[in-house]
Amino acid sequence: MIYLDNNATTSLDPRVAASIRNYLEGTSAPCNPSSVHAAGRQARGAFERARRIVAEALGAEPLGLTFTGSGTESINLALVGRCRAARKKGAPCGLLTTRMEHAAVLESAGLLESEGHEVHWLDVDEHGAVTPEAAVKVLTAHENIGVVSIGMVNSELGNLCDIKRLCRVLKGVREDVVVHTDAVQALGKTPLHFGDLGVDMMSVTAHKVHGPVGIAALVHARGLELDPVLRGGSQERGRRPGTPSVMLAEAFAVAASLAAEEVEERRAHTQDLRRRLVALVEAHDGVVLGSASLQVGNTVSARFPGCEGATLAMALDLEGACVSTGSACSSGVAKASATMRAIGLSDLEGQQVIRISLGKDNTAEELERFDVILGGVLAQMRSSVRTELKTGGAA
Amino acid sequence: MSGGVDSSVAAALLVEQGLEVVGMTMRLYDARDQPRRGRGGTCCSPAEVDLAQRACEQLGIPHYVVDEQQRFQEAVIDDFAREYAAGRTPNPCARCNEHVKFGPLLTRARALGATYMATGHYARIEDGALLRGVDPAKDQSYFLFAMGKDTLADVRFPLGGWTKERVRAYAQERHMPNWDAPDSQELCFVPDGDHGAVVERRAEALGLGADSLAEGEVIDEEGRSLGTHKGIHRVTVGQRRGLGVSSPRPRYVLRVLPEARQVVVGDAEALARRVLDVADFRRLDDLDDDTPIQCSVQIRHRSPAQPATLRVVGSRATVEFDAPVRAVAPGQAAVAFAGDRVLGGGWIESAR
Repeated sequence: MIYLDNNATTSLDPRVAASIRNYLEGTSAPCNPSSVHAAGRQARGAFERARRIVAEALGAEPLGLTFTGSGTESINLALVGRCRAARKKGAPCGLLTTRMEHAAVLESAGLLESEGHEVHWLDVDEHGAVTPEAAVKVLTAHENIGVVSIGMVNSELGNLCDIKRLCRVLKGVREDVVVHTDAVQALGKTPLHFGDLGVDMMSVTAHKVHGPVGIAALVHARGLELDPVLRGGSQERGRRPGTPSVMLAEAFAVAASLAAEEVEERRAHTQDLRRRLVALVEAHDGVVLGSASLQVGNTVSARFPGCEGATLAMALDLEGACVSTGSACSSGVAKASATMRAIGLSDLEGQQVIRISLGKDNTAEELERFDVILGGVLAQMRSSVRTELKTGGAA
Repeated sequence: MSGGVDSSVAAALLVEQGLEVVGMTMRLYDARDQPRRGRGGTCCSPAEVDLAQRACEQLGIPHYVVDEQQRFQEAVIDDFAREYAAGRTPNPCARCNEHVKFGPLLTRARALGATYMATGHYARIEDGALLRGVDPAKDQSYFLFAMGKDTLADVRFPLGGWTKERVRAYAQERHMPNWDAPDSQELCFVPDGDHGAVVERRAEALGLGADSLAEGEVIDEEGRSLGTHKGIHRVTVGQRRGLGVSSPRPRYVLRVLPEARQVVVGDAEALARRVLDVADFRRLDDLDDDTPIQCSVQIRHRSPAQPATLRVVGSRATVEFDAPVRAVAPGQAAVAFAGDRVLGGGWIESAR
């Protein structure tokens, strides 16, 4: 199997797996960090140690790091939790974001809107880039915007946004505006330092950096008021109720540390592979989407005219190559994804997109094999389309 | 693979033959909100997709779900609404076979490099001909005439020689997850049996005008008003019950007059028809143009084919039955057979 879908999830790093194995083999002691007794204290110690390691890896303070169950949950907590808390205080509680964000952002925006929060949309340019000028304009025009959420790396195009600059400009307009960045796709692909970025909230998740699925974090300014999205307990300083997993937190700590240590090495590796990937995609008449100058370094979204992306992804899968599609069928009618529409693709074009995303484990030899597989699959698809046209069969 | 036992057993038989098999389920409409009444009652619900997925997992073959909601909506459900609003009785299963299953799905199978596509239909393909399935209670060849002759070479029906009983026994022996799933009885997109409500919803969305579906007069052949019907889309030629007409002798729907929104009723004898005009006729066999062909013709699902003379001219055909047949509903399919072999079929335009 050639795994080329690292923006969806990644393999478990052996060093992370060792941490989990260590946990499972090391203790069968009850492990609830909230308990006051000895077993609880021991769990608390391990859990807070993991928090400190993750926080350090992200350039954040331990008191400003809330563990959650997924990137989606972190984003919900950031946007819904912050806007609701601001509203209770009578502070500006509207949201400003773009249509190119992950569904967790888009659907949180929808929820907030249904609750009466103002939601404003920031246009992106034809490459999918957010310009500070456009952001300033909207923020200036709408006093009720309390939270701005802009993704750092787009999951489909791999666009890298200069959040630091954008944040500085936004704070220049209104010092008290709360800026959140969805950095789920940024972690491990580009150096990430919460303090240095200047944002107020940042969402990350373990499984995009070879950690386990089931643990993520919302990094935020210490003391930032967030209404909990879930109800039921005072864990995570009241921000995220529910018994936390020490095992997953420790595994996240290993994954986050490795991501911070190895980020340059991983970036150089995937950037080199990406150059080869772009060349091979173009050699097969694929149209690579997005702007090269914005590229974080591991993602190729490409359109193969005349080939439906979903079918192409299935055909590649049957030959042992894992990629994903650029269309969102879950909504019912097959449409181009929000990102593809935002950069101006039609629904038909959007349905022809596949996303190939590289990771640290991929090799040049894998890409050579992928080249052969892609060539064979495209020839098969294109000849089947021609057969259809010739026989006048159903479109 | 619908998630039902038939397509799952069809897949199992192909795997048993040593073929490389890929399972595919089409999501045809949004069934998330529909009430479920027993396992396997409707297709396309998350539970059905899950059953198909489990069957594939058991067989050790890949399974994909493809979205065909838009095509199904346009080619099948919208057509269903338009036909009823025009006073005809549509045949959505045959439409689906033509426009969804043996069209885009087959195209996709070819694109994936498949040598052929198989389904769980009860019909046989032998020497390039489409034949009835051997289980007379399950035979689905009537719905398959529109798949087209060229398509036959690329399609297999592994259950054509099987009875439903044997299919279930096979699935039970192998502990297949859906071995006891109930047979689908209704149209998959009308799970509660209220087809009138579906027509009304779609007609409104299509802007067909509420007028055409409003209640109207039930009249006799002399034009005398006998009562009020609840909309022409709730009426089919040959129907006897639910007309809101009290009469000492049974009254049957003879005709629907969409412009006047009237339904004409009369005696059973007045339902008799000898000659059908058939449009959009597809040949599944080599039929000479404008030459009378002795055959038998079926005009409804689960109703025997009757001896007739078929004459095909271009894409149109006329059928003359040896003896009058009753309750011919325009919009239904007329399918010609020579014994078990399907010669071709088309859509009933009118009957005399």
